[in-house]
Amino acid sequence: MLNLAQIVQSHALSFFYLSSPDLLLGFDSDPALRNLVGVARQTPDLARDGVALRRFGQRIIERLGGKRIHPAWVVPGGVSRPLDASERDSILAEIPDARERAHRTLEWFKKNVASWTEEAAHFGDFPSLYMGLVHEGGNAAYSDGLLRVVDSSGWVMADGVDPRAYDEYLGETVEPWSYLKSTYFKPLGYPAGIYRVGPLARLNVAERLGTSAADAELAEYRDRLGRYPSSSFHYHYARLIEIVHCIDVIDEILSRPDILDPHVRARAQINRNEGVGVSEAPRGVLIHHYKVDDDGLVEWVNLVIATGHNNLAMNRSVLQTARHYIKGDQVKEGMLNRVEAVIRCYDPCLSCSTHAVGQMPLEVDIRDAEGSLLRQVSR
Amino acid sequence: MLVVACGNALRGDDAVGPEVGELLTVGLAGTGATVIVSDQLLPELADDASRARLVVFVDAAADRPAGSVSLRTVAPRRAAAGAAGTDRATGVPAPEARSLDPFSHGMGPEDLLALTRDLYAAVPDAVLVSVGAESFEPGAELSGAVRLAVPRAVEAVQHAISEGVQKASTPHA
Repeated sequence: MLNLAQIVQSHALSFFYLSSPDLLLGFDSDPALRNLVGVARQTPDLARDGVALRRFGQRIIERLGGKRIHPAWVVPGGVSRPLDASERDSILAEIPDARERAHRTLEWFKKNVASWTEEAAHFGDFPSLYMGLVHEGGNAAYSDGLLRVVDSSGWVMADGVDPRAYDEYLGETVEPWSYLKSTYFKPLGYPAGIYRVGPLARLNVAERLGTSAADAELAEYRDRLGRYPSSSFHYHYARLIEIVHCIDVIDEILSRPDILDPHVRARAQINRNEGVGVSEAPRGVLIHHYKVDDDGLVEWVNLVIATGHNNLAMNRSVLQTARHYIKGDQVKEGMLNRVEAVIRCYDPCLSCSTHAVGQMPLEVDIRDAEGSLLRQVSR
Repeated sequence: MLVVACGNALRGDDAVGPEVGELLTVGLAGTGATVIVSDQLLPELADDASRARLVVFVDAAADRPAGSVSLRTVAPRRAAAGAAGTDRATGVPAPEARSLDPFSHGMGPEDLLALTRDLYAAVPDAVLVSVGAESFEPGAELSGAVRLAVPRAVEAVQHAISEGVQKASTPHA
């Protein structure tokens, strides 16, 4: 439930705070106003829905974990304390409002999606592999699942993969021009093994989500876009469907008879020196791999994070978007914004993972067909 | 009354906001004031601000002498001037012409108050208590100068709240 709440609040941040200004106000609109304040002025209802959905997720995290960021509730062997009835009832009481706001936003997006046809065709629309966790039977899994990899035609490249064997399927490499690792599907090699994770990929690899309202939305999504949508622009649409799904699963979890069970933690000593944990984070598959000594002290760590899984795809998306929108050496702000916006589709953790302070630097070199530098633009 | 104390507790003097906030959580208990400690200002705080008569922001300041404590009133940011400060060829605005950077998650008190106004039609009085910082390097310790400033910052917040209460209880204030 903590993970699902995190997905709700993170998706709300991504969609409402970071991407809705482009979608609502226009990619070419005045950049000084193209932010949540601008959205609030134009459509306060949409902005309020965003704030409310983010708070819904955050409040669950606070109630369970004591704080919104880096809660310490989840501990080895379970959680540090059980849920009490008043906390459960408080969350349940907020679900109808959250559900209504999520559906309203989804309807708004569907009504307007046709107006972004050009962006959808050039924001990372290319064949690739997709990876996500699924349960046996094919429902999307957000934890305790097995890895599945499919290609853009639906061909299953790997299925039922125990996440502990991730390094048999995933290779990692480092490019000199990026702090971020680039991961690839080993059987296809580098860089042909490009794959995507996150909302778009999860909806592609899963047969269904597993809740009725979200599955109805998923069916409509596939009717509109095909069974395996290949444009990263559709991360937005997928994200909104996932919000609906996560709210409904939270409702289901809270309605289980054993949800207040006080037996919430098993205790043990170190009984294994190596472990791999995998879950679906908001942005995609998150792999933690640890080796510890007999005292439990960490000796070796490998983290394969969603932003790394998507690194190759983000770079290819930037290339596609830049090639389509930047013509000659004349560059307008709206073009640069689209180059940013295609990255925002993936909702990468760039600011947080690089501890960026202040203005996000963006530098664009425009080169001719021979590679000669025509112009540099930065913001 | 709402106190929003922000800062990263693991980035040196940036922790002064959370430190002051934790002290005020105890010091203001029972007064009806709410204290929120947050790593940074976030849009959802507009909901809390909309229900407050006075919002007191507490934050570390990189552009003030280390250990200084200052207070200034804060008003909602006005609509950006559009073309002002913009590169004419590209339309790219200068950093000072942009308010919320859609990539950095960053926002200031003026932005939060603008959101509060635009989303909830509420414009609470607001002040910012700034504590001049010496270092924002990783670490959980405040510098000596900032450590000494903590009681003065707490006092400044309490004074601002006290004045806010008086103003609210004064007819036609």
